[in-house]
Amino acid sequence: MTRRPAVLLAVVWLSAIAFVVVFAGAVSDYDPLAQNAERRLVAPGGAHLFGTDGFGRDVFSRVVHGGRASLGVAGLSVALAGAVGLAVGTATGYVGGRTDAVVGRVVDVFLGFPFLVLSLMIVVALSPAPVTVAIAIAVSLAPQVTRVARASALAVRSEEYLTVVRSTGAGTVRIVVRHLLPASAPPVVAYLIGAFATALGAEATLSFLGLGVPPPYPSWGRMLQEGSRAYFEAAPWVTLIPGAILSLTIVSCVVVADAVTRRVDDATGGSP
Amino acid sequence: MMRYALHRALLIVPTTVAASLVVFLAMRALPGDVALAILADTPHTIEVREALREELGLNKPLSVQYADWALSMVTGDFGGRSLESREPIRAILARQFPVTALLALYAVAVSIVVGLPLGVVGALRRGRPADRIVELATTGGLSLPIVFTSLLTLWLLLRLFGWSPPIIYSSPTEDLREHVEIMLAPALLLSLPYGAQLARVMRSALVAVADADYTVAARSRGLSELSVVVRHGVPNALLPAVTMIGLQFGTIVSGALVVETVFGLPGIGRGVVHAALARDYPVVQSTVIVLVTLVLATNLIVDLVYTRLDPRVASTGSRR
Repeated sequence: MTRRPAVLLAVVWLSAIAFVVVFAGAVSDYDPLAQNAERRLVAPGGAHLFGTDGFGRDVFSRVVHGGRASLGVAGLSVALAGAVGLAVGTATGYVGGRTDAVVGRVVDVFLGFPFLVLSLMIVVALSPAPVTVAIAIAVSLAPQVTRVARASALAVRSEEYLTVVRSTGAGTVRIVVRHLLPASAPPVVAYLIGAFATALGAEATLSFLGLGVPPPYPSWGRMLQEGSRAYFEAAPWVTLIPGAILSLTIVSCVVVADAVTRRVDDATGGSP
Repeated sequence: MMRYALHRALLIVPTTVAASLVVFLAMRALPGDVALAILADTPHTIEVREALREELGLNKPLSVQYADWALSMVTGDFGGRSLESREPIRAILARQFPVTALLALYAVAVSIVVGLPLGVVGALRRGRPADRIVELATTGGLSLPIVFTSLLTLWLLLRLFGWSPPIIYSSPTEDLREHVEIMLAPALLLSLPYGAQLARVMRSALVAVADADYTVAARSRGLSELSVVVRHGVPNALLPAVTMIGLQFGTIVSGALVVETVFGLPGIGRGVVHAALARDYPVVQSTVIVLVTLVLATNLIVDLVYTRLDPRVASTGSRR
């Protein structure tokens, strides 16, 4: 195990979040959508751990259920970007030549877009819904994943053991899947953990801007938007509690990603 | 040198054209009728919808639509008028651009002034508490989402000082004091991720040159560690730092979308978000390609600065 307390704390936090989100129904006492006109903007404590919002909805329940939307969208986008990026990056890195050059140019074009601007444009084109938000974030992530996967495949390609495997007459697909990927995938996986943090931030930002998960279903970003619009001064907890939980989750992912990257680099003797 | 610069500058053209195709096609990928999607929330007659189709040029073939748009971007017309306000898009961009440009300038300046020294401190005190503090601070700066830090800052300002952002933006020539008041918090917030990244790049670059031959030689001449770092380390470590300033410029643009929205700055970032929410497709389309061109141009400028700093690049013609 790791000697760094920060990494341990991050893992504990992420496990807790994962547990709470998976068992959302059992953990929260209230329906996240149930409105209660008599209990509007109740301060945190007592019956409502995190207070209530302007519609009298329980903030704790909304944070717990909102986590499903936020983590779900982020997870889906990382899975999509990871699948596409790993496949394309590994293939072009291994094959090289003209294919590699063409794909490299395409990746460069997409990297010219500021992350959020690309996501925003795609959400507008596809209209806001959880799946389209995930696709929008995935499209923004995929070029970077491709680049990392390509570099990793390129580094492993000329290893001696691959020459040996090649000399046995193994097919390209077999070489890539059985021999190249096990060595070239770890840096990509480390990168994807960090990408998950990016995706979480992007989902929250898009939802905050009104371009994410549509109402009434909560997501952490939507809660930031709703809370900061109407009653930010009177009831800051509606905004700041989900914001703090979102931030802690993102920071934890980054800390874990850094630790994994360091470990992968140590193992492969890669860049400092 | 001139030939290299020209070569690089020409390379930006196909990339920009490809990016404009991506933007154009994304805006046309909308499932169903664009005119219907725009008018979905308002009761309208078929004549109104047809007029809109006519104005957007939707009755023409795709290639003609693209050519029309590309031509209007090049001639400075920037794709006609806003659907929402009927204002020429050129006028909208001309109004918003200075706000975002100044904001980005301040944020980059703060990042350099704060981030570079932090990186030097981290490298000088490698492994000691000061280095750990720099690492902690940069992890926070890099990973805390701007959407949260902005809202938290806004709330603290409201709570502690009863301060809320001025409703009307003032340019530095109109009212410098008001300008500083409205720009200060957004610029500092924008510089958090960027400055943190810069500090990290600077630190690791300094650590990498710490064991280089010329550094060892300088040390053996009896120079103090500080002057070794400042005289020999920093100039060499500046190369990766300058690269990062260019490559990460998109971060500033992305962040501008958020801080401008939270603090009510009338810049391009808030503008494009507003246009997206209003389904003002012509404005979104033209603004996005302007932003992409800005990022590509920044990359080019940084690349040329890099060439000035490192003559090896121009002589080999490529840095890869």
